[in-house]
Amino acid sequence: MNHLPEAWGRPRDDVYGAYDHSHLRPSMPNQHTQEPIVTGTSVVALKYNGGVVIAADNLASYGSLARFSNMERLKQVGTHTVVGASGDISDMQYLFDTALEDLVIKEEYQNDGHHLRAKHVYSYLSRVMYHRRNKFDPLWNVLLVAGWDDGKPFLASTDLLGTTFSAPALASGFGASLAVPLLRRVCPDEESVAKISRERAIEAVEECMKVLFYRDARSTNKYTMAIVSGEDNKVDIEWKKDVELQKQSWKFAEEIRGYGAQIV
Amino acid sequence: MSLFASPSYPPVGYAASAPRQHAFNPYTDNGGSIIGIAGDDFLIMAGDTRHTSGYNINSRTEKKVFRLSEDSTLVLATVGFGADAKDIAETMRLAVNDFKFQHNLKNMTVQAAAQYLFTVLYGNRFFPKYAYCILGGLDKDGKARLYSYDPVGSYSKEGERRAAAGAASSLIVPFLDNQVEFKNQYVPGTNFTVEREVEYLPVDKVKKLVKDAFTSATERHIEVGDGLQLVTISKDGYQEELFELKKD
Repeated sequence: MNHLPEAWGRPRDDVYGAYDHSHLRPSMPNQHTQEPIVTGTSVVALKYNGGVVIAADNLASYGSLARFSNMERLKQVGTHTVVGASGDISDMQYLFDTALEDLVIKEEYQNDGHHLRAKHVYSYLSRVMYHRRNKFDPLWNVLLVAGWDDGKPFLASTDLLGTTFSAPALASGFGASLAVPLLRRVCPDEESVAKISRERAIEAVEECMKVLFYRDARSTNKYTMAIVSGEDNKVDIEWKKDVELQKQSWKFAEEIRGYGAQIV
Repeated sequence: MSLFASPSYPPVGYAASAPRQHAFNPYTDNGGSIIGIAGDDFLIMAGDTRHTSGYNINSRTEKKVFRLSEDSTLVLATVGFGADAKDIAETMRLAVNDFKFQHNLKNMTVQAAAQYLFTVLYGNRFFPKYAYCILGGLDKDGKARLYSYDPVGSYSKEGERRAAAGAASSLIVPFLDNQVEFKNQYVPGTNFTVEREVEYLPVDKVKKLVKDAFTSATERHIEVGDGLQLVTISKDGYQEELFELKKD
């Protein structure tokens, strides 16, 4: 009698020989997404007094190859919301061009004066993401939902596992490590949102895009920014497309051997 | 020979002969901790408000204690994999709401909710909801009842006096053993022969213990901190307080 619980209920090795684990391996290739192929990098967003600023660069990478340089990764959904996606581009295109498009058509068709607000779009997206992870067929993205909801700025995140959370400053991918600390310096908590102007928020997000371009090898210097601003129930979304990074300083590179102008 | 003995070369048996399967892992750990303590006629449920992914702090304000309906005393705290935890809370909220409309506006008892939560968790036995739950409420006599669950639904129908789960449970449980159940406490002057009798604690004492547990857990566990959500359920209804915890 083997006293080890992990051996109970299994064929005895001394009678049947060691278990052949290859029987567990599927014979057919798995058709679900196993890894992202063409990918977008970070999305960065920050709340301010009267709205949210969200930005993502225009690059779609194929591994380390900069494959498509005009890929917009932000989408306006209805009247109140902008969604930003990082991760797999084809999954993003399914969400943006099929799922969200169908959702908006279905809701706006009623023509009853009601519009989906940011919270509703977020709720829908996070349930889709969680549903797909439950089917073991995930949509390989991290999504940031920015918008205006019930007289307040709204910003929240969902990912391929259906994990959900919300904060006044959010960034996906590399940005979670590089941009969030910079944004939290401007906006450490929900209370300080009221003290941040639109200009300050745009400036902070621009700075983040710059730092990300300096340090993220899968990023580019051209990006899209959306500013969702609201007053009571009136929402305005301003788009800045194909923005080039301004005032870059590569001075830091001078001191790094093999990076700057040194010859040896 | 240990796998770690040769850092540069893979062991011979691991050569890339067969196609490598890159499996999708449907779980993650979002950190945090929860506590539930039952008094005689009140209940304290608490959780920190930090939400993590690895070494990243996703949010400092994500609550872990959920009120299951506006007009009952049912409260659920969940911790573990955030998406599963929130899904369980939502499932329970909908069940409590449905029950009310199917039973002539009578609220679900805490015992019924406890058994239902078991069904929900065990129903997912073969693809478990990776979340630890603590469910509490007042019974028909106004006595506090507290139940705690593992991810596949195991719970005790008798309920418990205190429960803790999550990232820092290993730090909090022994503290609660000693301070709530008076483990290893003896009556003075009896030379460690007479154990101190267990008694219900007053509400202000319980709140102090919970705050102490979380400030201490925050000191020693990196996934615990930022804020403390402290919920009190008593004959006066539902009361929620928020306290600061260290943000480092």
